[in-house]
Amino acid sequence: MKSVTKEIQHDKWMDRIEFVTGKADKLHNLPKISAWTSFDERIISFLNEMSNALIKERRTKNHPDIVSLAFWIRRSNVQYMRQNYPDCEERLGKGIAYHIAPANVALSFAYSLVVGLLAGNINIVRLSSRHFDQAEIFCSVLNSILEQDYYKTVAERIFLVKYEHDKEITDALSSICNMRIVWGGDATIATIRLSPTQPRTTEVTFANRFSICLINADTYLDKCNPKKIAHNFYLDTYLTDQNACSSPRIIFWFGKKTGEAQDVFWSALYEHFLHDYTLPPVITVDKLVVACRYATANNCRIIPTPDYKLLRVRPQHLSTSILDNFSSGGFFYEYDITAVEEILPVCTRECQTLSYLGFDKSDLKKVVLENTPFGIDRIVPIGHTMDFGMIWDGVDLIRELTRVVVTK
Amino acid sequence: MSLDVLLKTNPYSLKKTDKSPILAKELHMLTQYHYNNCQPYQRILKAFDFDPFDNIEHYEELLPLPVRLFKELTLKSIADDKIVKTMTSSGTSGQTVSKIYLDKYTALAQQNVGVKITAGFLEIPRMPLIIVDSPSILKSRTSYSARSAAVLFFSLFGRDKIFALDDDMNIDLAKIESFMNKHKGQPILYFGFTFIVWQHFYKPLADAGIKFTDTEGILIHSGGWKNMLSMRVSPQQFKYELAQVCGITRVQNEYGIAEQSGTIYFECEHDSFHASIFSDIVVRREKDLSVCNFGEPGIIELVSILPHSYPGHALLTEDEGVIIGEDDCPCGRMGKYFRVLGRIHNAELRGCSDTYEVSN
Repeated sequence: MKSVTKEIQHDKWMDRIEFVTGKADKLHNLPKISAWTSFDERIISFLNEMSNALIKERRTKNHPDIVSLAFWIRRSNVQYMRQNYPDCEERLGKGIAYHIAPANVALSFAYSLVVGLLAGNINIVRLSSRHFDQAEIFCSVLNSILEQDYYKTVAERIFLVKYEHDKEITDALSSICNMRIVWGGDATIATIRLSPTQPRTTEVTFANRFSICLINADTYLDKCNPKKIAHNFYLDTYLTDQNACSSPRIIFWFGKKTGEAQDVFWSALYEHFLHDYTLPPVITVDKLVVACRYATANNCRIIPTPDYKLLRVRPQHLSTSILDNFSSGGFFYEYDITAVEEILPVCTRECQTLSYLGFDKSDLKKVVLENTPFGIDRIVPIGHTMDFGMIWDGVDLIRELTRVVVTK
Repeated sequence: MSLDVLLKTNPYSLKKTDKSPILAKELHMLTQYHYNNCQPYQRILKAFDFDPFDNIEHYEELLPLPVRLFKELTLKSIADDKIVKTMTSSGTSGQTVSKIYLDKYTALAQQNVGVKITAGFLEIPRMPLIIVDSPSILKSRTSYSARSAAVLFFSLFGRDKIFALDDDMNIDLAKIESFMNKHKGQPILYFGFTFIVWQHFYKPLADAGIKFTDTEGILIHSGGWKNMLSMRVSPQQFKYELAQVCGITRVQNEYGIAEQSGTIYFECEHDSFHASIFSDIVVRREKDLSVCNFGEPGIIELVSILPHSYPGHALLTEDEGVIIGEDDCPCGRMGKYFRVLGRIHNAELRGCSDTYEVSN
């Protein structure tokens, strides 16, 4: 059988690519580079140096998400995650991983890259054309570390690129990759799938999803610090303009004192954290359109703050028509329940995360596993929906991005 | 004050102190009427805790519906058997279009008011008319679009008319020249969409070195300046070139939305659009929808006393504009006068999608 290692010929499409990290002339050689075993020490060392550099970087102070990423990639955390993969030394990267990063979350591309590297792959990551300060900071720190001779072999495995929507480029990169990771949305996935891949190349897709939040009103009032909770909720929502798949769109309130809890909760959020929040310009009109559209078919109350930074919709009845009427930048459905099972009707396949306050996580897990809704891949406390994990959207990324060598 | 009385009044003769109460009363009644007769509209008002039976001081207090809703939903206050016409707004390919349901009263009111307003801007009621468009837009009578509606409407002002373009949007020079000869010595009325007039009428003439120098023309054009801006043509240049090449000595810009036919806005001699006594404009800040001051740009909201068959009496458009003043325009007309600045930006911000999903 002929070797099917494809070469990349230099072609005009390469000129349309902006290389943030890596060089065009190195692309043609990629198919010949070997994969590494997962959790290779060279990668762990590199990530640790990245972690230190990011923490030290002056501009990081304004970006809690960079801080989170830096902590996630530090040596001790990576060793900790490694424990979940006792066979990691028998796992090899699949080869070239081609990542398409999303436009809604600044550092998704970085997490994708890190996972790709830890899995032992060579990585081509297409960054969103949307500008993010966090992305700029990450890339500049990355590039300066990669200048060191010591990381020469690591540098060979990292390509961060930008290019306009371009089928020729997508075709070319898809044809040489051994793993394709597409971070949504649905239309992007459909477009990328038009570009064929090799027979053994696998694909992971992260499609459009939404998330929900469950709060025990009585526990909230009795035991919680409203400002602290408001801050955690802000991290889950406004930090990404409520655009992330993990951003809660529906807030469920459980307990006796739901009305009082809601007053305290929303005032705390608004007064402490929304003063400096600026809505992207077209969002206010979008909130109005979506709220009106929902209201035409569903009895509800619509409660915007005068500045429209926070808009709550309180439906009389819960139905899945909510799922077609999401907006962002602070647009929340709110519903009072008397039993946790009442959240289940909206836990469709698109429902990713259940964030909670005032519940025992094992009780919640029990409800999910006993009722097996099509959705809910993770159950996390308020404030932690943006925490990235190796298991994402129900997919174990290290296992997906590696192959195992079995011996008998 | 009934519509009949208003139709006998000069459309720009009412000062704010006279116009405001009349409009407020009409719009308030319309809000109540649509509340009672359009279930979806009622649900929206109820959701916002807006009681249409409460007193209002000014129509700025009314909740405007975003025009986008008409693209996505059926909003009407009449039974299906009362519909005499369904109008769709002209959308560019791929976009959904608004559907506006007209009953006999509304259709007639829109026509009468449109005629009243237009007649005020044309000294001669009916002139030879050249429609700068293709006859094919009128061919389908089932899909009745804002573009064809505009053509049909302005045709009322033509006592003899031709289409300047053929079915392929190419200029039909022979037909035009023969028409001009037929009406030698008389001023010609032109109507067309701004971009079509420039691209399919002016340009071919200019490129061929042809000039209509011995005719005089008035052009009514509408459709926004966005495309012209992207071609780097200013309003001054537009007027100048049309005068030089097409003999068009007067250019009359017209603004309006398909969702409020009839209450159209013409540009005066001082380059401002004027609100007639049948409608008005409110400009709102994009970030929180509060009312802008004069001179402050924002989203245009239009209120009109004509929409009886559908809840279109207070609408938030997708246009950006600025009110220059009220009752004191140098042209002498009363009422608010304003500029239209373009479409509001339409960024695709929701979800994870990157440039693959951006719509044009």
